[in-house]
Amino acid sequence: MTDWPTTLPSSPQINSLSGIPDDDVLRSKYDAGQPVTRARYTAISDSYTFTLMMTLAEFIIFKTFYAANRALSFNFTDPITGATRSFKFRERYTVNSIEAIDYYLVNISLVSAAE
Amino acid sequence: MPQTLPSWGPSWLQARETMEAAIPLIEISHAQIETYRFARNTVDIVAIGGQTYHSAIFDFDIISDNGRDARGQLSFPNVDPEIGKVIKSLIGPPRITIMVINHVHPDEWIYRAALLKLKSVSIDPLTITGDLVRADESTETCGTILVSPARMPALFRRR
Repeated sequence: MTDWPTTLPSSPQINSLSGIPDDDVLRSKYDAGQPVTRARYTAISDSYTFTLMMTLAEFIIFKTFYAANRALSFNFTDPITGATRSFKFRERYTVNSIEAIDYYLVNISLVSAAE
Repeated sequence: MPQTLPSWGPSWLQARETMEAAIPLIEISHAQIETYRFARNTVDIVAIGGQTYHSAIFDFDIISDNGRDARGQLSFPNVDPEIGKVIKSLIGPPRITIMVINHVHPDEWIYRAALLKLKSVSIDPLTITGDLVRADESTETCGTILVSPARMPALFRRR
């Protein structure tokens, strides 16, 4: 499996990170009281959305990496635990330029392999 | 075949909360192919008889029988385009078996529906969809016999 390029940043911009696990709990609906609940799957994934700041040179490397791996798994550092995990792109990235300092803000959404 | 619950079944089914997941399994078999096995789970599972069921989030309707032919529907991800092509090319519909297991007791099914066939298969790059029909051998058409002079000389005898 491909690794995230070491020449690219992997630490999200401050306040840009949000994460959510799969909703894998079946819940019955009752008029009152606690619902009956059970796990739906034996393992769950985590989804993260965050922003990375890149130079133009880094963004070009990222574009090449995305083009080659947009439908494939790759190793990436979990932005919360710091562990290396298998991720996929959850959707297309978006990019905004910061003209004043010639940097690019790349918004990325990843989903981890179920564990 | 009557279905009886395993000893752990009633307490699991009646539990108000549990981390033991109910995992539907599906087997697609046909004389022309090796059996495909899938689990409706986020990771592969080794279950019934030590077989590996590959992760695939498929959907199916339980067969209903409201006075007409028992019929349901199955759709599952076209995880490998070759699977779709192979199923489409089969002569005669593949057999489908659906089971549900408790993942803590992967060798015992708690629900099993066999003798199903997959008909009207449609395939696109993402999903394979088909009608689940109860196999009824009594309505199968008989095979045809080629009538040739070698097989049936009386039909070709000249006076």
